[in-house]
Amino acid sequence: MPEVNIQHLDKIYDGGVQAVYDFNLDIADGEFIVLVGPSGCGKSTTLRMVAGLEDISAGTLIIDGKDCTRLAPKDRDIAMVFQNYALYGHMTIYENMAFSLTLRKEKKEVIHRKVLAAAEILDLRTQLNKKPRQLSGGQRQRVAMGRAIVRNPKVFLFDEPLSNLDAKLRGSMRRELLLLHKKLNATMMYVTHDQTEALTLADRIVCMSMGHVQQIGKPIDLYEHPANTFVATFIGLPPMNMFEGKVEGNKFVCELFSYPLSQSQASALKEHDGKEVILGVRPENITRPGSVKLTVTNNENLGMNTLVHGKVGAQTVVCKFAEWCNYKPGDVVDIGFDEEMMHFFEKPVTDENGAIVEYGKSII
Amino acid sequence: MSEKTPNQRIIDDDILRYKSNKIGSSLALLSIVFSCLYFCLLYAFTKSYFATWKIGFSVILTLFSLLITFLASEGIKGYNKKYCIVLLVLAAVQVIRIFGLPMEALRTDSAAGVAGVINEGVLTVRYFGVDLTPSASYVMLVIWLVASATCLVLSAVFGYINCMKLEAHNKKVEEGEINIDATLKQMDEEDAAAAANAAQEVSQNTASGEVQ
Repeated sequence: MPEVNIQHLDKIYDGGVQAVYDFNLDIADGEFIVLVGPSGCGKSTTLRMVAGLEDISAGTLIIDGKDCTRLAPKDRDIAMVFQNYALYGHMTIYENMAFSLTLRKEKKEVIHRKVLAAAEILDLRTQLNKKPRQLSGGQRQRVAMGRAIVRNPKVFLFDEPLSNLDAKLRGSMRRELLLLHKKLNATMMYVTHDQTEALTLADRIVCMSMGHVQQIGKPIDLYEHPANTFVATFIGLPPMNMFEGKVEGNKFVCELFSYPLSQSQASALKEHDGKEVILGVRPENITRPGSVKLTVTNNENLGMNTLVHGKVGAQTVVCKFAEWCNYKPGDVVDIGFDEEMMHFFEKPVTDENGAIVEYGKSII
Repeated sequence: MSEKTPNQRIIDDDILRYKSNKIGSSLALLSIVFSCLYFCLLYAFTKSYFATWKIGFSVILTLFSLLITFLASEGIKGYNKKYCIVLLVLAAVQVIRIFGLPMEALRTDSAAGVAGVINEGVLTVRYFGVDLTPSASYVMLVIWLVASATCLVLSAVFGYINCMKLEAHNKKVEEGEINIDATLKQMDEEDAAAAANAAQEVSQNTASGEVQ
């Protein structure tokens, strides 16, 4: 039985605005699920519906076999960690962590045991007598996690918990979170807009946009086999380069260049012959030499590799070469694409105003 | 209520390390409340014979004692036993104040007679919507001061007890006389053993029931 079972979840606000459309997800016991997407895509709303902080407009939520759709948050046996920590400033770290257990009227010894155990896991033992203001951002976030841990909930919910931290601390906290998940083997739902967090933490990623789930899968699946143009451009840093063009027999032709297709690509695209498609290539899958002329605009050496920004015609293209490069603005580089890693998508469906209604589905 | 085991007492003391000395600081803050009730009444005298330098001195003393009491409550919250002396001194000040203005009120009251005072409008007190006689005012002034002093003394005493407990506990931990992790582990084992015994008893009872 899955630990969390979400079926056909919808969220419609009073004004009629729909934030989440038909969200379906089964989360297994001990799984780490990351909801990722741009701001306003409905990921936090979904998490808050699971937490009980938002009413569920339609659909069902089952946690460990129990229907929690209309249950009060306190009865769902979940713990949530917020972006702004939500610690009580006048209490010590110990009191903050013990607070929920004190409300439950647990025995003093039991509370002490649980708080010390959680503090040990989070390396907070020496900070327990301090006040939140005396701790760094990372430590405060660990306290917020500790407060969740002591409750021993069925599901942990994290709402962008690392967004308030600086880049370095975010990296170390990410690793700590991963270790914590391994130690506790708990079911976790994590919301973020940072794809690095999503790719490094998740057992499975739920990629969302415009209130719809775009793809659910393992990080590697989303990276290597994006379901549509949104996932292709959202996952991966720098994002995938997209070229609009047509399939013409054994060639992909766009107004900037034409590129030969392999036999397998041509046969897979047979149905789209003569139709408009989008070619997607990740920056690291761009090779040298090749038949496409790239005019360099910027050369970023990152030590292990180099990001070369340039233009093919009017279109901006980013390449990632695994070596130190010294291109100067205006240099022309002949580039090609790794045949195995070329992605083809249908053209997105747009409305009369040009707004995307449906992202272009993956063809191969 | 069952008596605490030595391990439970150790844990109780250990909890002091991570919690503020709430009882001590709360009592000190409560004394501030009584102090406020005192000066609300004192400054409610509408036609007062205290309208002299004594009132000025009283205001300064009140502000000073409120400030020091608050600082001492914060100090005692952090298990600083030096503040116990400050609290006791403040308590003494509150007691001494009984013999100041309130006593003078009583003396004036006795000299003029209650009826005389009220009729002549020498001393009219309206306190939270209630008119008080001079003698009642005097009694209430004394009650608030005594209550405030009592809270300060109790705050000092409880604060000191907790400070000493924590000091002794920290010393034992530092010297390795007690080990919290080991104590917790031992308590876990005791709990597990108790649970096992209870389960065994239940199964034995069930078995004997079946035989009968």
